[in-house]
Amino acid sequence: MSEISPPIEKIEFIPVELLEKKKKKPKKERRYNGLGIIFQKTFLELFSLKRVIPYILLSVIFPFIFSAILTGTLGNIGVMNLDYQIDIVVNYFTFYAFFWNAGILLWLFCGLSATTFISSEINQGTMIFLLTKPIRRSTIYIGKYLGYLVNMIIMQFFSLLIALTTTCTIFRVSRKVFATGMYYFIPIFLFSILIIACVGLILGFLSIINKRVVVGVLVNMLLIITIYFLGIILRLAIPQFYTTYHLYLLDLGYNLSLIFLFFLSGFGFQPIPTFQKNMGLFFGTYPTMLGDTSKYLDSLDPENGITIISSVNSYISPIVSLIVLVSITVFLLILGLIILERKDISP
Amino acid sequence: MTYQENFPEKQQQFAAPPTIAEEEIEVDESIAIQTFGLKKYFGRGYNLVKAVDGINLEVKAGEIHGFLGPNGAGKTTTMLMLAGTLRPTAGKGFIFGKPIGTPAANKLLGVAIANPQFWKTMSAYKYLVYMGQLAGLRKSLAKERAKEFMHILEMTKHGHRLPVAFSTGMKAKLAVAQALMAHPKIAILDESTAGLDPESRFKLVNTIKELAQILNVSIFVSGHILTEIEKLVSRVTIIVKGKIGLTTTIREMRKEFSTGQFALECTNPQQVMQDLFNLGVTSQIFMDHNDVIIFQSEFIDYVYAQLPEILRRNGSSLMRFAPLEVTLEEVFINVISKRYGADFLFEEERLFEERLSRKARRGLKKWR
Repeated sequence: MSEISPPIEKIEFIPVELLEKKKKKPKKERRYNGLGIIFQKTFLELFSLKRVIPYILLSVIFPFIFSAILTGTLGNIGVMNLDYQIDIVVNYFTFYAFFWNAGILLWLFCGLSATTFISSEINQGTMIFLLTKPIRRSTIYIGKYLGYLVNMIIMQFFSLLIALTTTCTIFRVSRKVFATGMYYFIPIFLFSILIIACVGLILGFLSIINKRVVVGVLVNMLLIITIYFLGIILRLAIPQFYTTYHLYLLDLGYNLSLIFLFFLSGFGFQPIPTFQKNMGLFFGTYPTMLGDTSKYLDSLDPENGITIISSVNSYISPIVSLIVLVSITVFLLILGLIILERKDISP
Repeated sequence: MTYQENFPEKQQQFAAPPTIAEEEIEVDESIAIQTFGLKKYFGRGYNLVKAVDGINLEVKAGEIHGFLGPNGAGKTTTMLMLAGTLRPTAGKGFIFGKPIGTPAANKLLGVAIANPQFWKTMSAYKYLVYMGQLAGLRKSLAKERAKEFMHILEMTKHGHRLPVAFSTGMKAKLAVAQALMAHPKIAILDESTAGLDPESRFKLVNTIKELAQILNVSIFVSGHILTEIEKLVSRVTIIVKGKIGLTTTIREMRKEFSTGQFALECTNPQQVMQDLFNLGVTSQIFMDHNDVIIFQSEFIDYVYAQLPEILRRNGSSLMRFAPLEVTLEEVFINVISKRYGADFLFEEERLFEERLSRKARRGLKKWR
C-alpha cells in the first residue's frame, strides 16, 4: 500500500517588521508651489526697521497726547472708583483705537505695503524673474498677501498693546483696569484684522491694475479722507439729504463704525456718553450731539458710572455692511487674480 | 467707396488672427521648444504692432540654438512668450511637450534676460539661493548650488554684495547663474552678453558653452554680436518683422550662402595678384586690408595647378589658400536684404521720417 501524503501547504514566512515595511506607502514627493518662499520673503522684508520703528512710534504718540490732555481735564482718575476707571480707560482707548491705531495709522501703513505688492516688482524689473519660475501668478500674489497679512497682524497687536499700556500708565489706573482693557482689546484686534485683510485686497488689486505706486498711495489717502472726514462734512452740510437720499450707504466711515460697534457689542461693551458724542460727531453712528452737550456729560456720575446709553443709528444692519465689505474685497481678489493671470509683463 | 475697399491691406492687417486647427498641432515631448503659429500683437487699430506674426519654431533637445534678428524683429517678445511672461495673442508653444506659461513648462526652463534687475535688499548669494528655492530646490541644495555657480562664474568674493551695485558684466553673470541654478532642461538667454566688454563677453560665452555641455542643457540664445553667436550655436533661426526668415545649421548655412570666393595669403601679394589676374580665369579679384587676395573663379582646379608656378616665379611663399568662409553676419544681411529689400535695415529711420512728414502735413492742414 502506498502511503498517500497530504499536500503540503506552502507557508511563506515574512517577518513582521518586513510586513509593516511593505504596508508603508512610498513617501510622496513634496508638492512644491513656492507659496512659502514668497510668503517668507515678503514677511521678512516688511519687518524692516524703517517700517517698524515709525509704526510703533506713531502708535504711541496719539494715545500719549490724548491721554495726557484728558488727565489734565478729568484729573487723577486713579483715585476714582474701579468701574469709573474702567469706563474711562476702555471707552477712550476704544475710540482712539478706532480712529487712529486701527484707523488712520493702520490704513496708512497697510496702504503703503499693499500698493507695492505687484507694482513695485514690475517697476523694479524683478517680476520677470518670478514669472519665469515654476510658480503660478496667483501664488505670487497670495504669497505676498499672506506675508503682508501676518506681518501687519503682528505689528498691529503690538501697536494696540502699546497704546493700551500708554493709556493706563498716563491715567495711572490699577492693573485690573488694564486686564479689563485687554478683554476689550480682543474685538478691537479682530476689527483690525478685518481692516488689514480688506485694505490689503483693495489696494493689492490696485497694484495689479496700475503700475504706478503713487496712484495707489493717492487712492489710499482719498479713502482715509472719505472714511474719517467726509462723513462729518456730509452730515453737517446736508443733514436733510443724508437720510432722505440714503447717503449713509456711501458713508464709509459710518459703515465701518457700525461694524466696529458690532464687534464691540459682542463683548458686552457699554459706551459712555463722551464716546457716543465722539462717534456721533465723526461717524454718525449715534445721534449727533452737536451744540450743548452738558446735559449728557452731567449725567455721567463719577460714582455710579454710566447713566445714559443712546441707541445706535441703525440705518442699515452692521451685518449687511460687513457682508458688503467682505464681498467687495473677495470680488476684487478674484478680479485681480484673473487680470494678473492675463497680464503681459515685460522687462 | 468704403474704408475697407480703399485700404484692403489695412483691413487684412486689422483682421483677427486666424487660429490654428488642433489637428495641425503635433506635440513632441522630445523637442525642447515647439511653437505653432505663435503670435503676439500689441495695441489696436492704427497702433497695432505685430511683434510676432505666426512663427513655427523648433529647438531640438541638447542643441544650442541661436535666435537672430534686427532690432524690433520680435526676438525678445518670442522669448518672453516662451518664458511665460507675455501671453500669446494666438498660437501655441510647448517646452518639452508642456504648454508654455504653465508651471510645468517653467520647471524645465531657466531664463536670463538682458539688463537684469535685482532686489535692493538681497545679496548676490541670497539672491541665488532664493531663485533656486523658487525653482523648486530644497534650501540646502539651493545653497550648495549657489556656492557652486559663484565659484564657476568667479563671483565668490562678491557673494555678500548687493547685485544692484554690480557692474553690467557681473549682473549678466548672476542672471545666467540663476537661470541655470536648478539645472533646467532648456535655458533661454536673451542678449545675456549685451553691454559687456569683449573680454567678459568671451569668458561668459565660453562658460555658457561649457555649462551647457556639462549639464546637458539645450540653449536658446539671442544676441546682436553675430561672431560670438556663431561660435556658440549649432543651429540658427533668423527672425525678421515677426516672421521666421531662415532656420539652418551653421554648416548648411556656409554651404548655402557660399559666395564662391577664395582667400590667398602669401608674401609678395601684389605680384601674385597680378599673375592670378593674368591667368584670365579669375573674377572680382582684390586685396583686403590684411593683404589677403580675395578672388572668384569657376576654374579653381586650373588656378590650383598654376599657383605653385606663380608663387615660385614671384619668390613668394604660401601661407594660406582656402575657400572664403561666409560669416553669420553676411548671411544675416543677405537673408534680410533678399527677403525685405536692401533698405530694410534702415526701415526704422525711414518710418520715423515718414511719421515726421505726416505730422508736418497734418500741422499744415490745421494751419490752413
